[in-house]
Amino acid sequence: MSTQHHNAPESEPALRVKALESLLVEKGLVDPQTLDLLVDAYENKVGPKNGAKVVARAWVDPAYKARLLSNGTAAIAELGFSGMQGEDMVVVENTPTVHNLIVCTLCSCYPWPTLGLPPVWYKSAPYRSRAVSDPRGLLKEFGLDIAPEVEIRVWDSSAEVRYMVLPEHPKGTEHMSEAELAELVTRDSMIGVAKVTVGSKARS
Amino acid sequence: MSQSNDLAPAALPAKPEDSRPFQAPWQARAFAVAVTMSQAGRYTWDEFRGYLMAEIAQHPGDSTEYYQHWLDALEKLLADKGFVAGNELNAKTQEFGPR
Repeated sequence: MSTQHHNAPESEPALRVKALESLLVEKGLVDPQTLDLLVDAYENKVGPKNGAKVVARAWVDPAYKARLLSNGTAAIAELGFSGMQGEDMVVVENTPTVHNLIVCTLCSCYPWPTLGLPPVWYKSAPYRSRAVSDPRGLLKEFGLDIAPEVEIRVWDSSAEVRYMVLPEHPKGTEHMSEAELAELVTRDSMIGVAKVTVGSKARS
Repeated sequence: MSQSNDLAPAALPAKPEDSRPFQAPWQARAFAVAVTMSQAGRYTWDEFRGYLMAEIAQHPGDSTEYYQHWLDALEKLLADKGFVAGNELNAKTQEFGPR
């Protein structure tokens, strides 16, 4: 039936997914175009750039920041970001005395509307266990040395709540516009495995 | 990378990081099917999560096959819900690819 010819045979999971999709389409349970749109959304549109805008807004607008910390879902929606896996958002603020870290110990829960899909390492067994058992050591492996007097708070995503870190506003950026600030905010800083510095550059 | 099954100091996935949301097209399709069926109300996301957590729990320390767990969870959920039976899927898979 397949009209595609590849130099290498398709992998087992690729064949199973193809078969699964085919059966579901036959049964009228999914529409291939809906699937296409979803893939396009998460490959190209939904990503940490969204969260970066939220962070930058909080940095320049204290009233927004207050709203963000008291009702994350509503404040994030003010900027137009909402939807699946963002229905119940809690934003946790990094300060000079508190550093926050996000994990989903049992699977990969992650705030899709603000950060897109999680990186491979976030879903890995070592991250999921060590974020809880040894966050300070884990952060060192990410190149982040958190001083012993700074409290590390680890947030393990529950069934509904999705967390996002509001990183500290870095020094040396007072002259920057909100848009320029957003370009500094990395995905990793919103998970809590990095800080934002004046030299940061958001990858995507 | 550590191959041990216990969860004590194991290495994180190697850098440099592959920051694409999906490492293969089938992962993107599996993701889309799981989400779409949930959004259509065929099951709740929590139900899917439950199956996913069960797959992950059965393979502690295995970091490399996340979307395989996803697919296995999806297949089991769809079978349990009566949407796609296991043997039906196996037969269709055979049709798509002689091995």
